[in-house]
Amino acid sequence: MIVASDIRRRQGGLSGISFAIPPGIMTAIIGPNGAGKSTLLDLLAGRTRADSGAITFGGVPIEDWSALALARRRAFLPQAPEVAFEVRVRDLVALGRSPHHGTPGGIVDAPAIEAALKMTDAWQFRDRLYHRISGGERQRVQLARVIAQLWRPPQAEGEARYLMLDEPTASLDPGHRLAVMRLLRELVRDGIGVVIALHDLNDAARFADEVVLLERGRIIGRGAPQDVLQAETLSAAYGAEAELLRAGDGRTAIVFR
Amino acid sequence: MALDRPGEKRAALLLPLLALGCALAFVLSVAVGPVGLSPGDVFAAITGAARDEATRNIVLDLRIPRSLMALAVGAGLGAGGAAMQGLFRNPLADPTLIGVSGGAALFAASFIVFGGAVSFIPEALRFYGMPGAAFIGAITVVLMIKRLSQRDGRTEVATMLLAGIAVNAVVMAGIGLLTFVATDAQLRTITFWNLGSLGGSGWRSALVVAPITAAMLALCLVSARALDAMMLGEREAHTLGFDVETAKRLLVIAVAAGVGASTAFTGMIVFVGIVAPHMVRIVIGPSHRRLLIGAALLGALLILLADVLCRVIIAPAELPIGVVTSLIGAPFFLGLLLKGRREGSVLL
Amino acid sequence: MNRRQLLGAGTAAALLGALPRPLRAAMPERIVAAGGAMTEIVFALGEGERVVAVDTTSLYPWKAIEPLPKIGYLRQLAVEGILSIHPDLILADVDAGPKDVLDQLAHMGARVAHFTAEHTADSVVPKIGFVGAAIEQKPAADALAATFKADLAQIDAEVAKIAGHPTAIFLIGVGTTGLRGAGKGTAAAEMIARAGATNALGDVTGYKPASAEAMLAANPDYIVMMEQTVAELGGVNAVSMLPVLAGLDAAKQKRIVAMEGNYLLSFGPRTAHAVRDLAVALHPGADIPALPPRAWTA
Repeated sequence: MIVASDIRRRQGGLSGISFAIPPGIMTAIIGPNGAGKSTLLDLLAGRTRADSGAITFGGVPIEDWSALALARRRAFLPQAPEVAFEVRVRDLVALGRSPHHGTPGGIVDAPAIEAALKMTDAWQFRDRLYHRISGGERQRVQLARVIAQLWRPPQAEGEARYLMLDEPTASLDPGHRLAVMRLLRELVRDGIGVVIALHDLNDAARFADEVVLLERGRIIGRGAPQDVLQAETLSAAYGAEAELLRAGDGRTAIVFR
Repeated sequence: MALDRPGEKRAALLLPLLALGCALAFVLSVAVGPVGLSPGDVFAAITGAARDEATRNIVLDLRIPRSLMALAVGAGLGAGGAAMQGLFRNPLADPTLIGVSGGAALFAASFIVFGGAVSFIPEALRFYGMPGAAFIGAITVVLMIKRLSQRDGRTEVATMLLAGIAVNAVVMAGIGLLTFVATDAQLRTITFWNLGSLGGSGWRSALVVAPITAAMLALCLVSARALDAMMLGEREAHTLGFDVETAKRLLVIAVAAGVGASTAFTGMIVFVGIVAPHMVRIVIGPSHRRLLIGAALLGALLILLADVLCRVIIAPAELPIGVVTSLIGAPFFLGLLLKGRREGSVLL
Repeated sequence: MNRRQLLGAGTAAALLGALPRPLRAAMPERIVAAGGAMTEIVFALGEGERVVAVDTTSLYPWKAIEPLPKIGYLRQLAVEGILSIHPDLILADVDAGPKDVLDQLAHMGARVAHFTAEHTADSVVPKIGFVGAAIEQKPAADALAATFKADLAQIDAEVAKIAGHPTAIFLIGVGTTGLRGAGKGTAAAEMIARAGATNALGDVTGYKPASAEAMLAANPDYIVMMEQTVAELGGVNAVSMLPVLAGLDAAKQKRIVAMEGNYLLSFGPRTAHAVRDLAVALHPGADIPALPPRAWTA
């Protein structure tokens, strides 16, 4: 469980944020540009510190975690990952295993890398150079890296794990976008808590278990997608008139006029 | 688990090959020199059965310590370059960027100009006067640049790059001022120091530089995994569980000490610190544990060979080694760059 | 230094002296000379055929020196390069180095004679004595020193008789950094003074970059340069048109004196004659009798 209590961070404009993220579900953080999604995600991942308030990760204040211990339990995919040198895809994914060196888990590196590459459908270009593959392929490789970081052998017991992603589908075509979201669902099924900053409200509605709606640094809605994603709330948050269209099969689509 | 499967195979080949090359170059460096000694003479001198005192001295007190010095200096420059390129995430970085050479040069020039006035140094330590000054200079300027680029207790690498450029400019201006007050003789000494030479190497200098370089290499290797992760940026490396601040501090200080020590005794030797890691990375990829070792080996190989050239090419005179490394290194580097561009390499 | 240190140093010196020196010979037959004056003196003493290698600042007597191996620039000597010539004596002038290299040569058993007095005309006599002692040619050295002393005294006396004191400036070319003027304490300044002129840059010390303004402020009657520098710059005409010099009276009237650098500045046996040649150039009206020609000035 990750618990945020009354956190405030001036840089990013967050204030009065309190909520809990239970393990093993997908939590989508949504909101208009500049609402503070990335800032909140960074705080929850322990990548930045709040000006006031507290975040606990597994019951322990997040600032008391060592970088290494935290890295074994939470992975983070930034919005625009950079890679400095020409590196082979497989090596990049292997970096995800860094926190596990010297631990008993270290011996599962090879299977972890293979599994991650296969899950993200990146196995076939594992030997190619990262900078020579397409943007969509790179995104899958980066995803494989964070998956490898959290990977455990099937049926292995362990502490709760969290994968945090900052708009991982922003630059993907619909096909790849859906593939990524389905993959994240699979991870949830494997017991990984997924916390994702999302722009696409329909994806949030369709895949998330819980939605946190941010506006100007405050939470204005939180709960199950169907409860939060109401036309009125969304219209207020995004400053554009939202409408929920119900399809024949009972699913809804959010559109803005 | 190491990075890079194909790189692993190539490294499995390249590293032993480089090590063998180094060993051969070391042997060549001991066997060849302006004084024509037969391999038999050299071997006899090493085994303590020298033909005469002069041969013994040339082999044991001149060539071997000088070759050891070349090995250490080259390894230090190569590994130092690899570490700095990893730290700055830039294939064009080298120890010069963090002020090692500038600091050493400024303090060495100060010692050349004002050292005569420092009469309190006991005679036994006089030998270490200028190298000592250069070493202190390297460390001082590096720490200054590091201090300038600190915010909230964290060293910002991008700021460090800029601070390095600014401080290096100040340092160069300082050297310019010194050349103004220098006598003609001191001026020429400064010029030659800037070109680099292994000419003064003996056991005294080799036994200082070799252990410091070895320690530097060890410290860099300790941070090798952190350097791997820094490929993704410092923040991501931290998120991956690395103590990035400690790694940075360790790397900067290790490189300042290691490259500072060799620069202190040999003067400025350029290009090896950029070229060696770059070439090794092209072949075996950016996994730093192997890259550091490979760059150290290639650096040592290059300096050993360059020094042999320096000694024999215009014998009985000697070329400054900096001239040779630039003459060979620069066109080679250019070729590498153009080839990379042709093949559509995204990064250099 | 306290007494114990003194004793310690004494013991070390005694031990070093006791070490065998296999390369040391009573009468050096293979001499390496580092420094133009060193070379000149050995040749002036008639022992030129014993010189087996010289540094690149040794240019006189050129015919004899040209075929010899060159050990490089005298400030950047190489230990093994010199050893490869198997010298039994290395004559090193004050600027020879680096110090490490000279130390190592001595450590290797080579005999290094390092003359350490600064460059002045007055150092020539002791320099001749130093070389004479090192190559075991004391009587010849005494004779050479006496002759040189007489020549120098004669030209000094002649110069003293001249009434006018023109101002002069010496310019040296240093690589690509442009021209530098010779201030106080330089070899060139001493030569200008000996030749009966006033150094127009007498208020600075050492070689200083020559700026157009500083040159105008100094506005010397004569510009003195090395022949090599003048040649590099394209001749006297080209020099007189250099922007830093063009405004000077000396440049306009082509009062530019070019002398061979080694002859002018190396403070060797030819220095008295060099003073005379410079004095003639700087005092065109004066009648300065020539010095007797010497074997070593031919």
